[in-house]
Amino acid sequence: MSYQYLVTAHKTTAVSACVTGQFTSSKHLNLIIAKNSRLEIFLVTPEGLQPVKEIGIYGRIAVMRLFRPSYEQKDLLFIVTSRYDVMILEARGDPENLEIHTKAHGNVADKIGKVSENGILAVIDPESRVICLRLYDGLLKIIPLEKDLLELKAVSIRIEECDIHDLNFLHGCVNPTIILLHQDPHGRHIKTHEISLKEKEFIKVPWKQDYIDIDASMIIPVPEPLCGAIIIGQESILYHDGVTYISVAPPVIKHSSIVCYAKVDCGGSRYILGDLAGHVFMLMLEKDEKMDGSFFVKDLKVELLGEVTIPECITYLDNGVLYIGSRMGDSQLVKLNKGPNPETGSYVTVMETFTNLAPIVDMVVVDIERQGQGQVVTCTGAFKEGSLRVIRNGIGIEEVATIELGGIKGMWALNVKSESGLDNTLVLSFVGHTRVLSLNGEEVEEINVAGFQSEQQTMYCGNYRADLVIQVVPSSVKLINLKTDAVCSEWKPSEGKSISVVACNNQQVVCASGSELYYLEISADQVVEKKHVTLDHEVSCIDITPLPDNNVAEHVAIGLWTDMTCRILKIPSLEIAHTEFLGGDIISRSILFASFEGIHYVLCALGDGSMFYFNFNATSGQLFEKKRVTLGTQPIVLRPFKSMATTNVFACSDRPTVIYSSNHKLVFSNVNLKEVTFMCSLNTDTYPDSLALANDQMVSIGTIDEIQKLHIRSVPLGEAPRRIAHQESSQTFGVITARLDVQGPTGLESVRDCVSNRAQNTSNSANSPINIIKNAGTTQAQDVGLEVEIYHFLLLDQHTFEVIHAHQMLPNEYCLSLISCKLGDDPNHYYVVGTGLVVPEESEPKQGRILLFHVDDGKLTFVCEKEVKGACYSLAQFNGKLLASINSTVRLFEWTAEKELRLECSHFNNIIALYIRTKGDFVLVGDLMRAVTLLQYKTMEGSFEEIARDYNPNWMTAVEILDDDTFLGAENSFNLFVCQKDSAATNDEERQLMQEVAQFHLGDLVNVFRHGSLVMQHLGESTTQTFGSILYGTVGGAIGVITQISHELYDLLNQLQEKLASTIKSVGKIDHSFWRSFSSEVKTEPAEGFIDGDLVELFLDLPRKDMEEVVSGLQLSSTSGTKTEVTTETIIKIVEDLTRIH
Amino acid sequence: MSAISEFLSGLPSYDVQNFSKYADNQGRLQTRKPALHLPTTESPADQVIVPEKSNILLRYLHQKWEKENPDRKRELNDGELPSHSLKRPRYDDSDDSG
Repeated sequence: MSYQYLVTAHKTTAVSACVTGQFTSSKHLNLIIAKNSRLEIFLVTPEGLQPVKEIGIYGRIAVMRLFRPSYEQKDLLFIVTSRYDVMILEARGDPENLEIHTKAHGNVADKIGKVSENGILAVIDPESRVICLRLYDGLLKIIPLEKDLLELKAVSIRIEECDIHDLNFLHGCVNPTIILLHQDPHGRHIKTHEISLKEKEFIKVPWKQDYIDIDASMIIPVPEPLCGAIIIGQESILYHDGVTYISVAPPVIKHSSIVCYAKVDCGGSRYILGDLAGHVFMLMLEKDEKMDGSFFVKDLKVELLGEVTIPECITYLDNGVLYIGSRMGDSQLVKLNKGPNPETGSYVTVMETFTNLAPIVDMVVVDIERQGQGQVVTCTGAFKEGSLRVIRNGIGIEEVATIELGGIKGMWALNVKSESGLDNTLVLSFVGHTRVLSLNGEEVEEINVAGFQSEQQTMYCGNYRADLVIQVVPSSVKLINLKTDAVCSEWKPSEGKSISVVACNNQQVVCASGSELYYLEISADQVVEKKHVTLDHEVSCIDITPLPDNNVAEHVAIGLWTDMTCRILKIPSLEIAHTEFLGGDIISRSILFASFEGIHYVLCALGDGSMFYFNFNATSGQLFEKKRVTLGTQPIVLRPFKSMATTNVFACSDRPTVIYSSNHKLVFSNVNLKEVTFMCSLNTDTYPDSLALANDQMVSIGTIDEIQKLHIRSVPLGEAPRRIAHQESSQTFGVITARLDVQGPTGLESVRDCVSNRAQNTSNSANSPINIIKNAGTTQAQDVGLEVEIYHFLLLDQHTFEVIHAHQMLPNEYCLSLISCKLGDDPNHYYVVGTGLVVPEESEPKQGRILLFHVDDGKLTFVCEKEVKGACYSLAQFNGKLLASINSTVRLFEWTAEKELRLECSHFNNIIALYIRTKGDFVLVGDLMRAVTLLQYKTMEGSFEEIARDYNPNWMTAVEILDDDTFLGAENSFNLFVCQKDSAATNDEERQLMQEVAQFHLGDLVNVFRHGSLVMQHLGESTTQTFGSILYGTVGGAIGVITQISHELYDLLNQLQEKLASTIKSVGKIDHSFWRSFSSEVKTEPAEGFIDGDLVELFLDLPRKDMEEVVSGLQLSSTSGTKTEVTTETIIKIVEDLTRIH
Repeated sequence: MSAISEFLSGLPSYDVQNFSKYADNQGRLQTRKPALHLPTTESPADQVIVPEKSNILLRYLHQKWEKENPDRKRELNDGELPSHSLKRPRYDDSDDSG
C-alpha cells in the first residue's frame, strides 16, 4: 500500500466569479470573489478593499449569485458547486466575528441526464421568487423560494430547447419569466418562458426572436423601468424588450469575444463589457420617453474604454472602481477616469494587481542560489498575460542601496538632530572601533559625534530622547547630550571589568561582565545603577525588551554559559523567576522577548543555528511550551523589527530568517539573501520603513516584502509560455512560448510588444530540410485579420531573465515538449524541443520534429533536427539516450558519434502517449485516455517490455513516479490516484495489472508534477517522517506538495482528519468525505490513501478546547500492533512538522 | 457630449468616501488575504433543498392527461373511480404461499 500526505502550498488564485452587494451587513458594500473552492469576502472602504473572511467550500464553485428576498435586509449568497450541491448562505455578526450561516442546502443532481456541455447555469428571479438551474440538456430545474417551508423542492421541467448557451430572468414580469439563448441546426435564437410556480410548469412563451447573431453568447437582463434584455454577439449587440428591438454592430468589438459584463447602475442603462483580449467597453442604452411616460431604448452606444487584464468576470464596486477577476492573468482593481490618459487614450487606470499563478502550464524546480532550497519557476498565464513566476519560500528584500564595508559587528539607526524626527544616522560597530555614518538623502558621509566613543566597539546605541543618545561600549554606558555635544552621564562596571553583553530598551539597561549582572535605569538624564547581582555562571546573552505598549520591562531574559540555561529575572530585584535547562552543549548566543498576535514568547538562539522558543507568562515570568527549530548552521543574532505595523523578528545567520506569526503560530520564513550578520530597522526620509542588513562585505538597505510564505516574482512575457527547462551548465532557462500574430495583407504581423520580439539574437527554422507544405505566404483575402499562433524556443538568462536568443518555429508547428539533457558520451548539454505540425484537416499530426540546441559561451547554436512521424508530446533523458512519446508511440533515440539521433526501439499500444517519466530502466507512460502504463527497457535486447498497466479509463493530465513500484497520476475530472505494480504476484496476469491503491479528489486540474521541495531540506530534528516530495501545479494556479508517509502516521492522521471533518463545520453542509471522494464520469468512490493536509493543518488554528476534543480518542498504533492514546501536544508537534514541508 | 463622457459622468456611488483614501495607502498597504473562516459550532439549516420525488415523465403524463381531459377529472373525483370496479380485488399474501 501507499500512503500520501497532500497539502496546498499556494492556494488557487484564478478567479472564477465575483459579485458585489450587501452581504455582511445592510450598511456594508462587499466584494465576494470565488476562487475554485474558496470564497473571499472583502469590505469596500475609503482605503480600498479590506479583507473580511476566506471561506472554504467542499466543492468547486460553479455559480455564485447574490440575491435579496423582500423580507431580508441584506443580500444572501447562492452557490452551486460542480457536483450539484446548492446552498444559500447568510452572513451573521460583525466582520470581526463573522459567522456564515447555511440557510438552505441540498444536492440537486439527477441520477440520469445528459450533462450539459455548456456548463452549469443558475439564475435567480429578480424578485427572489425562484431559482432556475440548467444542469442537464433538455431539463430546467426550478427551486421556488418559499420562506416558511422546511423543504424547498427542486423540480425538473422538460424544455424543448436543448442546446442552451445562456439563460436569465427578465425583470418586471408578473410571473417569473426566463429568457434563454439556444442553438438549433439553423442558428441561434432567443426565447422566453413564463413559469407558473403553482403548476411548476412553463405556461406560455411571451415572446421570442429567431436567428440572432450566430455567435451570440450572453444575455444581460435589463432592470426596470426599461426591462427586456441585451444579447451580446460576436459582432453585434441587440436589445429586445419583447415588442421592439434595436441592434448595433460596433466595429470595436469585432476583434475579440465578449466574455463578461458588469452592470453599472441599478436603472440598467450602463454596462461594462470585457473581452478575451482584455479590452473593457462601455455599453449604454440611450432611452427616450414615450407619450405615456414609459421609456424605450432609442440607441445602444458601445465604446472602448481601455485595456486591462484578460477578464473572467467584472463587477462594479463604487465611485468608478471595478474589480476585474481573471483566470489567465493577475486580477485587478481598476478605476474609470473621466478623461482619457493623454498618452494611451485609455480611460482606465490600474489601482492594484492581485497575483495569479493560473494557469500553471508547466514548471521546474531549481536551486539557482545553491542554498539547498528549491524554487519553482512556472509557465503562467495565457495570451498577453503570459509570464514566468519565480516562487520561493521566504521573504523578499528589495535592495535599494548598498555601502561597501566589511567586518561589521553591530549596527544601530539613530536620530541625530534630524528635523523630521526620523533616523538620519547609522552607527556601525567593528572590532576595536565604531564609525558613524550620516544618511542625508542618498548621500552617505562619515561624521564625528562629539562625546561619542569611537575608539571601542559599540555594543549598543540608541536614542533615549531626540537629543539624548545612549552608547554602550565595553568600558562604560554613556549618555550623550546632542545639544551640548557632551557626555552628560557615564556608568562603569567595577574596577578592571568590562561589559561582555548588554541589552537596552532606551529606558533600562542590563549588562553583564562575566557573571556579574547590573541593572541600570536612565532618569533625569543620568544613568543610575539600581541593582547588582552575581550569577552562578557567565552570561552569554541578554534581553530587556518590554512588552508591547509598555515603555519599561518587568523581566530580563538571560542565557548562561556552563549550565546551558536560560533564565527569566524580575526587575528590579533580579531575582530568578524561571530557569529553563536547554540541554546539550551549545551555548545560547541571542535571546529575545517577542510578542506576536497578543502572545508573548521568548526566543533563544544557539551557536549552532538552532533556536528554542517558549511561550512566556508575563505575570509570573514562567516559560512554557518549549519548542525547537533549526534556522541555519551558524550562530544566530535575533533582532526585532517592525513591518506593516506588526513586530517581527529577524534571525541573522547564514540562512537569514524572518520570524512572524500567522493564525497564532510562529512562521519561520527564509529571506532571499545569502548571509546576514547583523540587521537593524531604518526609517529615514529617503529609506522609509527599511532594513539595514550587514554581511561580510557590505551593508545593504532595503525594504521587506509584505510578510508572506511564498515569495513570487513575476517576469511578464506578453505571450503564452508553454514549457520550461533549466540548464545548470549554461546558467539558462529554455522556454517555449506561443505568440498570437495577425495575418496582414503582406504576411504575419506581430501585434504587441512581447518577449520573443525583444531577443538579442534570433533565428528560425525556415531552412529546415523537413519536407512539408510550407505556407509560402500566399495570403488569401479572407485570412487577413486571422490570428495565427507562432511558437518560439527562447533562451533566457537564469538570473536576469533577459532573452538571449529566440528561435522561431515553422508556420503551424506547435512546440509540445522541452528538456535539457546530456546524451551518450557527448559532454555537451542540449536543449531538446519536440514539435508537431498541425494541419487542421488531419485528425492528428502526421509530422513533427525533434530539435537540438546547444548553448556555448552564452550563444545558442542549432545542432540538428530529426523528423518524426507525429507530434512529439513529451521528452525524457533515458540511459544517456533520448526518449520521446510521438502520437501513440514511445520511441528511444540513440545519440550517435556523428551527432545524429538514430531510432533504437519503439513501444506501441497507446492511444496518445502524452506524458513520460523515467526512473532507472523504467518508463511510465501517461495516456490520453488509458491511464498509465509501465515499460521496462531491456538493455540487452534493446527493446521495451510492457510490465504493467492500469486498466481504468482515466484521462490523464500528468503522471509521476513516486518510487520503483508506485506511480502517481492526475486525471481530467480533477482527481488524483496512485497505482502500484505488484512484483510479488504469482502469475503474469496479476503482475500486469496495476492496482489503484490510493485515490483522492483534488478539485483542481493538475498540469504538471515535479520532484522537488519548496523548503530547506533536512531542517530540524523532525520526528514526523515524510518520504520524498512532489510538487504539483494546477490550472487554478495552486501549487501543492505530495509526500509519502508511513502506515502508522497515515492511520493517525486519518483518524485526526475524520475528527476534524466533524469538528470544523462545513459551510454549505457538504460532507468532507463527499468532497474528497474520487469522482469522474464513470465512477464515484471514497477517497483512500491520501490525507487531506489542508484540513489536517487547520487543527493548529483551532482553540485549545477544540483541539483537545479532537484529539481525545485518537490512537497511535505502533509497528508491533499496540495502540496508545496520543496527547494534544503530540498531535500539535506532528501537524506543526507537517506544516514545515511547504 | 461624447458617449464616453456621458457614460463616465455621475457613476453610481454607494458611499462617496469609498476609495477616496486609496491613494494615501498606495505602496504601503496592499490588500491582504482575508483570515480563514473556521466554524466549529453547528447551526442547523433553516431549509433543506430536495429533489422532487415524482418522476418527470409521470408528472408530464398526468399534466397532459389533465389538460386534455379537464372535465373528466371532476367526473372522476365526484363518483367512485370507474377503474376500481375493473380491478380484481387483491388476495391475501398468504394465498401465494399456499
